[in-house]
Amino acid sequence: MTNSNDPLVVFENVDKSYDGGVKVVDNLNLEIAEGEFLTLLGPSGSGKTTTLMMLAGFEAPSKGTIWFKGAPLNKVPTYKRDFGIVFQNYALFPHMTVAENLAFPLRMRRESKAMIEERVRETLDMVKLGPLKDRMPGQLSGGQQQRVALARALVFKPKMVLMDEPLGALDKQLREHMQLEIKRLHEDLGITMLYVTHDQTEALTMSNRIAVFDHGKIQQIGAPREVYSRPSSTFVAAFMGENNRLDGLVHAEDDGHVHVRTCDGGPALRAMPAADRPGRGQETVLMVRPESVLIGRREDAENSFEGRVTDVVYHGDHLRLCLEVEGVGTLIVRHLVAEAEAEYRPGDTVQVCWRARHMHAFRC
Amino acid sequence: MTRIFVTVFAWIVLFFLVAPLAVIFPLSFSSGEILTLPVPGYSLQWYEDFFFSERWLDATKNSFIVGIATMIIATLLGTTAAYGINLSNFRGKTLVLATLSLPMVVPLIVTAASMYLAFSVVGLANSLWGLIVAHTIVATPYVVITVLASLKTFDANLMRGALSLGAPPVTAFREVVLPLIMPGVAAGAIFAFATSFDELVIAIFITSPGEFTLPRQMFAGLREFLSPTITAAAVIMIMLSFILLFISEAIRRRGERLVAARTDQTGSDQ
Repeated sequence: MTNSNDPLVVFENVDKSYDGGVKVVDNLNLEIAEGEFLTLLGPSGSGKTTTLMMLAGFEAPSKGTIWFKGAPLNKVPTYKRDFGIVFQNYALFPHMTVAENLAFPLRMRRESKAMIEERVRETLDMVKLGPLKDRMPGQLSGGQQQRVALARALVFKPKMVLMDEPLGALDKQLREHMQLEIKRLHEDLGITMLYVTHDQTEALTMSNRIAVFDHGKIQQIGAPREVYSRPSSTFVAAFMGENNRLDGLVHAEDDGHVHVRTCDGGPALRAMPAADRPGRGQETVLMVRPESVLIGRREDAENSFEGRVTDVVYHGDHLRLCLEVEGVGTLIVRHLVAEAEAEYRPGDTVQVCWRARHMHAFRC
Repeated sequence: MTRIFVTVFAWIVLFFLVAPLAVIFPLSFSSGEILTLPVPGYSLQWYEDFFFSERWLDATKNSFIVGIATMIIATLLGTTAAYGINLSNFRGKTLVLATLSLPMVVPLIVTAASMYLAFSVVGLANSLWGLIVAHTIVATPYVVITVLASLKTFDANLMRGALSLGAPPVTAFREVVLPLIMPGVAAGAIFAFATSFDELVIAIFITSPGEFTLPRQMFAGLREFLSPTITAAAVIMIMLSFILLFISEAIRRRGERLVAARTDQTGSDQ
C-alpha cells in the first residue's frame, strides 16, 4: 500500500565501496518525492554519480536498501526498472536513425507499430526535432544529440528520469538554453527527475531541491534559495558560489547574531551563526558573498566600513573591486556597472556595507 | 634520388613476394605431364583432372565442411569470450588472455602432435570432428583478438543505455553491441575460416585418406603422385584466398564508415 504522500524513492543507510575500500557513498539516507526535481550537486568523486548509478541499477549498493514506491529495488535489474536515463555522452545508438533510437524502448515494450510511430513523432515534436527524424546521430550537433537523448529517455513514459551531467559537453549558451528546456519539460510532464551535476548554477536554476554531496555524504539538502543563502558549512558555502573568507574570534552574542573580531582591536563584525553555532571565545570562519557587499551606506546594514580600493576589474555587466578594510581584511566586491556612481580607481576610498544575515559564521 | 631508390626497392620487394606465386599460374595451364618451365603448351587438363577426380572433390568438400564448422564455432566462442573479458575486470585477466592466445604462439607441430595423442585417447583422431575441434582451438584466439580490438572503441554506456530502455541483456547485446562490433566479428570469422582452410600440419596428424582436406591432398599429391593437378589446386586456393581478402577488406571499409558516423564520445567522471 502506498500513500500519495509517501516518497517515490528512499535510500536507506546505503553504502557503496569497491573491494571494501573507501566508501564512495557513505550511509546515505535520501528521499525523493513524486514529481520533484532533485539535483545531486558536488565535486567529482563526491558520490553523486555513484548514487545515480545505484538507482539506475548499474551499481549495487554494498549495504542498505533502495526503495521504490515502498518496494525494495536492489534486486530489480535495470531493464525492469523503467527509468529514463540521460547519459553525459548521450549514448545514442550510432547505427540507428533518430526515429529508430526513440522507437527502441517502445519496441522493447512490444508496442504496436502505429503506437510507436505516433509516440515517436509526438516526442520529437516536443523537443522540436521532428524534421531530423531520419538523420543518424553522428550527423547531429551536440545540442541536437542532447535533445534526442532526452526525447529517448521520455518517449516510453518512464516512472522517473535520471540525468548524469547531461549538459556537460555543451557550450555555455546552449547549456543555459537546455536548462530552461529541461525545466519546462519537468513542469509540463510532472515527471520525477534526478539530476546530477557539479555546476551550481545549473542546480540553482532547475531544481526543487538540491542535495550537496561531499565525501560520499549529503552535506546539506534543501531548496536552492535555502542552500545558497543559508549554507550549513564552509564546504557548502564555498561550493555554491564565491565567498570572501575571514578568520576571527567570537567575542559576543546577541539576539541571533554573533560579534566577531578578525584581529585584536579591530571593529566588531556582526554575522549569522551557522547551524554549528560558534560560541563566545571560539575561533570562527566568516563568509560573505561578493554580491552581498554593497558600495555606499545603507540604513539596514549592520556592518559598515570605509575601504581602500586596491584593484578594479571590468567584467561588462559588473565590476570586481578589491578592497582593503582597516582591521577587517581584504574583500572582493561584485558591483553592478548599472549601479556604479563613480569611476573607481585603485587608491580611492569608498564606503562599503553588508547585512549581518549575509555574513555567515562557521565553527572552525 | 632517394625517391627513385625507394620506388625501385619497393618493386623488388613486391617481385620477391609475388614471383614464386606467379610461377604456379603457367604451370597449372601446362599441356605437359611434368612440372617444368617453360611449359610446352597450354591446356586445361589439370583443371579437368581436379574437377573430375573424386579425390580432389572430396578434399575440397572436406575443407569447406571443416572450415565453415571451425568458423562458426570459433566465432561463437571467441566473440562471447572477448565480450566477457572486455566487460569484467578480475584478477588473472592477463593470465586468461595469455592462455587463450597460447595456440597462436606454440609451434604448430607441437600442438598437432599433442592433439593427435590426446584425440587418440578420446577417439577423435582420424575423424573430421577431430579436425574441426583442433582447428577451432587454433582459430578461436584470432576471433578473440579481433573482437577485443573492436570492443576497445565500443562505448560501454551504449549497453547501459539499451538496458535502461528496457532491453534484457541478451537483446541489448544482439541489437546494440553486435551490430557495432560486427566488423571485428566478421574479420575474426574470416580469419578462422582461413586458418582452417590452409592448415596442413594438424591435418597430417589427424586425418586419414578418407578425410583429407585440400592442403593435405596437395601434400599427398606432391609426395606420392607428383601430379601437376596440384598446380591447378594451388591456383584455385589462391583465388579463394583473394576472395577472402576482398571480403575482409569490404567489411573493414564498412566498419570505418560506421566509426566515422559515430558520435563524439566523452568520458564521465567517477
